Amino acid sequence: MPIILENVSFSYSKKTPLETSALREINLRIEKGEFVGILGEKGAGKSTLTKLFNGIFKPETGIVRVDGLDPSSREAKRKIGMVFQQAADQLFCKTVYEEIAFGPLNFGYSKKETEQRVYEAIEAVSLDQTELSRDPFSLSGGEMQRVALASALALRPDYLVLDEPITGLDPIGKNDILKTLNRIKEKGTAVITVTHNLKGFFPLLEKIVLLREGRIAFQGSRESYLKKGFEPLPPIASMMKELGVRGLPVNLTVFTVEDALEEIMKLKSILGTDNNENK
Amino acid sequence: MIRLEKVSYSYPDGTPALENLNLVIKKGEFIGIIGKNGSGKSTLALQLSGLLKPQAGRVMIRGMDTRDPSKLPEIRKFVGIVFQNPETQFVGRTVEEDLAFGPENLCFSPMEIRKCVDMALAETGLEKYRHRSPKTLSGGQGQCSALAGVLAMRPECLIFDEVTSMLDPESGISVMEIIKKLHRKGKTIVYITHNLEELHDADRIIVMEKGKVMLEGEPKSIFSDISLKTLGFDLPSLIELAETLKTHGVIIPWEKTASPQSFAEEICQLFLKT
Amino acid sequence: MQEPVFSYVPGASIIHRLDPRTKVTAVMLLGILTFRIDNFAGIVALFAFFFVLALLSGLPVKVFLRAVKPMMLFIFFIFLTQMFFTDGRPFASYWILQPSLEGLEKGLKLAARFIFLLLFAALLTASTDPSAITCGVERMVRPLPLRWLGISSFELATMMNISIAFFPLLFERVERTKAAQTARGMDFVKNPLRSIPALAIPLLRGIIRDAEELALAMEGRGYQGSRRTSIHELSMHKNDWRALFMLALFILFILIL
Ligand SMILES: Nc1ncnc2c1ncn2[C@@H]1O[C@H](COP(=O)(O)OP(=O)(O)O)[C@@H](O)[C@H]1O
Ligand SMILES: Nc1ncnc2c1ncn2[C@@H]1O[C@H](COP(=O)(O)OP(=O)(O)O)[C@@H](O)[C@H]1O
Ligand SMILES: [Mg+2]
Ligand SMILES: [Mg+2]
Repeated sequence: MPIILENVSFSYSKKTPLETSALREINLRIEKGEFVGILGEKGAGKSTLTKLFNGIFKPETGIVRVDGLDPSSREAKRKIGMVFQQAADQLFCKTVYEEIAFGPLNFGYSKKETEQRVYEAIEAVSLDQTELSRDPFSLSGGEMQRVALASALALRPDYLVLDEPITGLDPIGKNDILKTLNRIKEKGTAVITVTHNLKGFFPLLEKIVLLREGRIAFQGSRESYLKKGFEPLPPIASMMKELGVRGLPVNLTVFTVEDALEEIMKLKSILGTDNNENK
Repeated sequence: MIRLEKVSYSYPDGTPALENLNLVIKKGEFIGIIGKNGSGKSTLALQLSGLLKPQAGRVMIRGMDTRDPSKLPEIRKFVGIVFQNPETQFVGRTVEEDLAFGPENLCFSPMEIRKCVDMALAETGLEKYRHRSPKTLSGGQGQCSALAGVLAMRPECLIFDEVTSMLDPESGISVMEIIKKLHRKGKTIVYITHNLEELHDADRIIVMEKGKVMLEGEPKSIFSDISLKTLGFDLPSLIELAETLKTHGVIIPWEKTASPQSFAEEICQLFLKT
Repeated sequence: MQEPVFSYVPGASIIHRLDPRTKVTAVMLLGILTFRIDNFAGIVALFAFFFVLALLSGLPVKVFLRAVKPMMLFIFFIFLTQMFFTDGRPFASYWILQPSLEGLEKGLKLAARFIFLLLFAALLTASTDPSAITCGVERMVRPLPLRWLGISSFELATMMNISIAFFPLLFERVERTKAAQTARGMDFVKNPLRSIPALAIPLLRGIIRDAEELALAMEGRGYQGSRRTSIHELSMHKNDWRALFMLALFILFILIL
């Protein structure tokens, strides 16, 4: 069963002069096990959308259902793991262990079961056991992000929802989280992530939801997103699009360096002229 | 004009952060600094701005030793630093008052302060937000306001510590544009980042590792250095593509790898010229 | 978000342009005065005085209504207790309660005093930029031996300014932590006792870290806690002296009345 949004709208500061409509007429369906990227400019409504998934916000109109359940119910909350934008504000316990155990204990699992889940979670995010006794506030940005991820995973969610999980990390931290997310997805958890980092995430995304001014501008597979020429694009895809604009016969679905190399060499042989030698 | 001589620094809890570091920053340079988390970039930035003092060696800022307390006001006027999180850099209730904070500390007269504030607002294009609370600005505008707060002190040298890392790409680009403009006007820029794309036009890049300078050179040579990859850095995709194309006999000049547009333009030039 | 009570309403009236020190002094003196008035003539005169000032300030009426409204219930309650529980000649009788004429008079006066305090405070805050108030207060307390308390008047003023600027951030932080805890199954309705420390501890630690970053940013911008100037030009003009002179006359007049 999927996450379903039907005709959902949401506004902030309802009935005040500052009322801002953040989302309008959203229809969305996210299946189990999908890797979904939510893209869009700042203020497009991405963060707001993620907060509708687990009932932090209630839609103004329309309905949200998580496997048929009301997202603010406890049953539904257990199915959804959330990692918000600022990792530092999501950590509030004295040790990393307590932090990760917080969720399972809240949902009434036994000490033993909780312990098992904590170990499973730190393994999933490749945190060392020695880190469990550390103070979450003494961790680096990348480590904090991994602890936040682990505490969401400890609930063994069916859906993992992340808001810009690699923003501000160093390249090693970024690649770590990307690899971890890929592993989590391979194990059957749906990963739904808001991101601006297309270079890192694009290879992982199966489905793309593009928001523009609170509405869905595109929803579908990565291939059709590329073919239809939507933006934003990762640098290579953007370059291919530019080639297309300049009238060269290129495959728009290319976004990796290897494929681009192949594509450009193909162009070279089609067009025949080899100006490098002439120069 | 900033010179680090054999600088070492450990935090009070004993964590070593810089070891025997030598570095010279010339007037008008744009220096990029990259390195893993914990490699000492922020500590270096604090040393360069005189906010931390070396335990061994010395930091000379335009001939002034940062350990000399009597020189501190002069040093503050000369170097400004902008940090990652705009929210924790605001001290004023409105943008205007926030920008006034630095000049006020320099004991300028109210009229001089107004002049500094107006200049900084114009430089960053924030005039229309003058009376807004800096808290209500978006991330990108907030970071511009933090930059303006430093500019109001008219420093010659500006240090940026991961100022775009919390911003969305568009806002990051607009902040970057202001910084490049300042560089063209002759300011010396030290720019710390994880985003190598931002350093395409830098005069020099320094790669930090474990409190030391690991690599140093022009972007062109740094980006083609394989040891960068062993340090865990991914090259900007277009540069990587240009590098692989080179091995296949297609040569894209360095300047053209700056943006997808210029790259595509160059390929068209190469292939369509008949 | 609604505009908060006692917020600044920018303007260029004669009242706006007075030096904050003049205004702070005036409000303090008028505050004391309201509690010394003992006859209705004084109250009427004070109200007339306020009315003139309010007109001069050009501030909209709602500024003053907004200041008084939230306190109305409290003031009314004070009025009632005074009326019913002051001994004197009863003018009516409800059950065991006997409102007295003396009580009525006392209640009315007390209510008027509170309302005056609120009105004058609103006049000050609406016509003066908060940081100008801080700056004015700083100048006024500068000669006091604050150093015995371990801080300088400059530090005091900067602290006042920063707390004004920093306050809204706290709410956002609490909201973010709360969202994170809700998502991980914390039930704030069922566990009100657990929720307070669960929110307070990260808040406190977050503030400490923010404060460290802020301190660094401030130092980087040349702050040393010692002498500094201000963007707000504080200079007593002719108008300020005139205003203070008129205020003195008015106070004398009321006291003699
Ligand atoms: N707490 C809030 N109060 C009022 N408006 C808000 C709030 N949060 C977001 N908004 C507004 O809602 C819109 C969508 O915001 P958001 O979902 O945060 O966008 P994104 O995450 O895509 O940048 C924006 O116009 C933003 O200004
Ligand atoms: N305030 C501090 N107290 C103790 N150790 C610190 C402090 N700040 C940084 N460090 C340590 O100093 C080293 C260098 O840190 P930093 O200069 O912040 O690196 P970077 O900015 O490259 O991530 C790291 O090992 C870090 O853990
Ligand atoms: Mg967002
Ligand atoms: Mg750093």
